[in-house]
Amino acid sequence: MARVLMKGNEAIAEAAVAAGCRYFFGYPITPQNELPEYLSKRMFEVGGYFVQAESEVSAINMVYGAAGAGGRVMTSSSSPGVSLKQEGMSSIACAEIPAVVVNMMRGGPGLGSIQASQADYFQATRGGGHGDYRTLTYAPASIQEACDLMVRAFDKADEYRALCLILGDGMIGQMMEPVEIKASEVKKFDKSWAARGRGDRKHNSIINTLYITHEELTELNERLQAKYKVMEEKEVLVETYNLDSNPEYVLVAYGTVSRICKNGIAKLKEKGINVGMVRPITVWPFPKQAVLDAAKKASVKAMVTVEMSAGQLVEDVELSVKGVKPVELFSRLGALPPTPDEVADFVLALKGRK
Amino acid sequence: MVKTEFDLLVGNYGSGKTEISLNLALDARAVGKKTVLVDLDIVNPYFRSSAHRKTLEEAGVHVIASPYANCTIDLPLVTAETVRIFTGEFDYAIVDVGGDPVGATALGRYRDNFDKVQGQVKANYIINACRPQTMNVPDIAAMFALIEGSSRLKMTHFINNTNLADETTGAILYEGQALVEDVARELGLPIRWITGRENVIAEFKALAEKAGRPYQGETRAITTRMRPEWFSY
Repeated sequence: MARVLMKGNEAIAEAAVAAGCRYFFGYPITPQNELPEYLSKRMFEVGGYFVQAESEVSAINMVYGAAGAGGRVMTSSSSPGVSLKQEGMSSIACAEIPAVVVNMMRGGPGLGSIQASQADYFQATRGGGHGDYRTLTYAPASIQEACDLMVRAFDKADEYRALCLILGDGMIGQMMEPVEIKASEVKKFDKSWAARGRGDRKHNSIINTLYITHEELTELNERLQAKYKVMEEKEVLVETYNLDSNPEYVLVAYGTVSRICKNGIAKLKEKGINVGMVRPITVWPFPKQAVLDAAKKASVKAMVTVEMSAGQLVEDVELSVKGVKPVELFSRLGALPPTPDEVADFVLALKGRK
Repeated sequence: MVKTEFDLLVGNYGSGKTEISLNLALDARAVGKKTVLVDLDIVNPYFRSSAHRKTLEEAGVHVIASPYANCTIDLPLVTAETVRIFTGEFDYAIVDVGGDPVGATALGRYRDNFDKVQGQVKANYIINACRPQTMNVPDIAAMFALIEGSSRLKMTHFINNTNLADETTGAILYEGQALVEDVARELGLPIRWITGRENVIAEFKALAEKAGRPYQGETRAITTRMRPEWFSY
């Protein structure tokens, strides 16, 4: 496909198709509606299946079923809808089956607002539902990156037999940008674990999340944690920006906000202040080392977390920085993105204070 | 006798209706026309013309939009005030319509009103040949039929607004022009404008001159306002 202009939600949907996803189950909610709308037509063109379920709860359980049968499957929603999916997501993580969930975050708590927000960070990075589990969580900052990460998410879900999450916000869903959705060969994975009939085998595959004995449950949890440990070692994605400029401050921001920060950094540079940035592309596993390395730079006076939430990302920054430098927080509440000038002014105020 | 001139902006998502609407409104005010812009979009929750209400009102453009547009909920509704555009109160009325067949149904509700001012209405169908659903004649014709059908109005003109946002070049617009001319021939409507940022229009003209081939429609440079500065990074 040539370079085209697409809305984030549509582009992510098309990227899912390019990644070989053939099953979508979902329920409408702004600001991600164009994604199911697009797939409601597209899935039939490629011989896939689209079901608008009666609720988010049934949609995620359809995902659970199709994934358990070995399909490449996804659902998408926005914050309140993703909350409804959490029980199913916990089951998918427990059953060790691959699936991809997209969350185009909107303002919360409760029904909140249709505007963009990042307030589901804890839910996305801490497991979200009940039990000790994690989701490999990608936070794209552009439509192109969202498409590329979508393909990656399906592959990683299959590779680890795990749940992957695309954590966008309303802006990523609604903005239009030029993209190229690259058609590539869909990677094949062994899915002999899938519950799709005995065939000529001597046993059935069973997808299960109930463990009666504590020994079995302990064994499952140890296996899950070992898998997450490998992900922490191998799956971190991060972008560093302007760190070789002897920055006085290093911003930490992800997704839409990181773009605003880059513009803020340009404005600060005009005033003679060098500022760098660490942008987590995976928010779980978090790029702890990259953040710590930036903080350890002699020129850096403080790390500055910029987030459209009340101080969620900042906790991961503090855990990474381990106290070697102060960590400041610029927090925007209520689902309105900050402007580059506001980010620049925050840094200027920090500088003035010292 | 109502003397208002009407410009309806219709087309698929991402064709550029809203940018063109804002330009038409501000240009009309610059020559002193009493202008009204209706944000009739019932399908897009973000990036709507009424998000620029302040700029428009400061320029003297009256804005009619759902009271719930650009707030924190997504309600697909049309305000009763819309019928004011048919009272003759304004010299010029621009109607920015939602970008799919569902969006165009909002326009259909005013069919009887538009029938009464028929000769004064230009129904502009905007084409962006860089949108995946509208990259060839059959796809554009299919989308056109769906949108025109829902609008219950007859389109009168095409606008070639082929663009890839910040990556648009004159060559991209020029390539789009060939396609839009094919569509215009197929569907029997004239091309009214070829729109793009000033530098894009200049490149387009240079290319057309070099090719020595006349093009249909007039070029019209537009200023883009819908993309926040931080979209580029």
